Amino acid sequence: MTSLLFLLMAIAMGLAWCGNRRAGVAVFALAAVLSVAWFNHHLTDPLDLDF
Amino acid sequence: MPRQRFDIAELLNAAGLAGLIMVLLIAYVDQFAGHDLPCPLCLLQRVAIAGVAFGLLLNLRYGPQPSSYGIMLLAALFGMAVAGRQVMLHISPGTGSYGAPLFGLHLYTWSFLLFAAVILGTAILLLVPRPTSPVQPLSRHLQYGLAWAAIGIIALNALTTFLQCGPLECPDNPVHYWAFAR
Repeated sequence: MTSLLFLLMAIAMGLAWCGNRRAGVAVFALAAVLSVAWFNHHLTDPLDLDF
Repeated sequence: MPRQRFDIAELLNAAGLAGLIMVLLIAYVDQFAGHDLPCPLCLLQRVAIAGVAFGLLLNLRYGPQPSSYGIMLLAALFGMAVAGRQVMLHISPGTGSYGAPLFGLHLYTWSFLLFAAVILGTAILLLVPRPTSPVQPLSRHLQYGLAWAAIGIIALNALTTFLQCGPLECPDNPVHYWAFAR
């Protein structure tokens, strides 16, 4: 899954650099949403904190 | 009034992209020379670096624009959240750490500081006035070199992450590559 995030980022950058800014930003937005979802998936361990 | 030779914002964007490529290279040196496999949160911090690099690349290709700086800020805030989470996991005595320290700090702490610096740097870049007279553009070779180096190292991260984690999920404490484990 994380490799997909890198792949989407690389595709977004490639599209933007080759002149297709709108498609690049759209792919970046997809990668950003998936990244937040994947981060949320990894928020499993409880923090050993006491305020 | 002396004529401005370069667009300062364009120069700083190029320098920022070069810096992020260097950071990803250092992460690779640690991974391959130091045999320090990145954890899932470490990899997400690299993804956030790629997000910041995307904003810088947009500025390099289309000229500095507020929307590109917005992308950089969002990616840096995400990176700070991930790095901050990892710092919090290990901040209490007895909770251990992940990976070897570099100059006294662990990579996730450096990463947190890096994203803070990106936010500060982006705020400064937003304050830089646009040139009012024609300026000398950055060399096309430099722009292409930086852009394709950034795209290349991020694509390489996709490959090495797949070799390490496979198609699904990385273990919390990876000790070997999924592709070479038999």
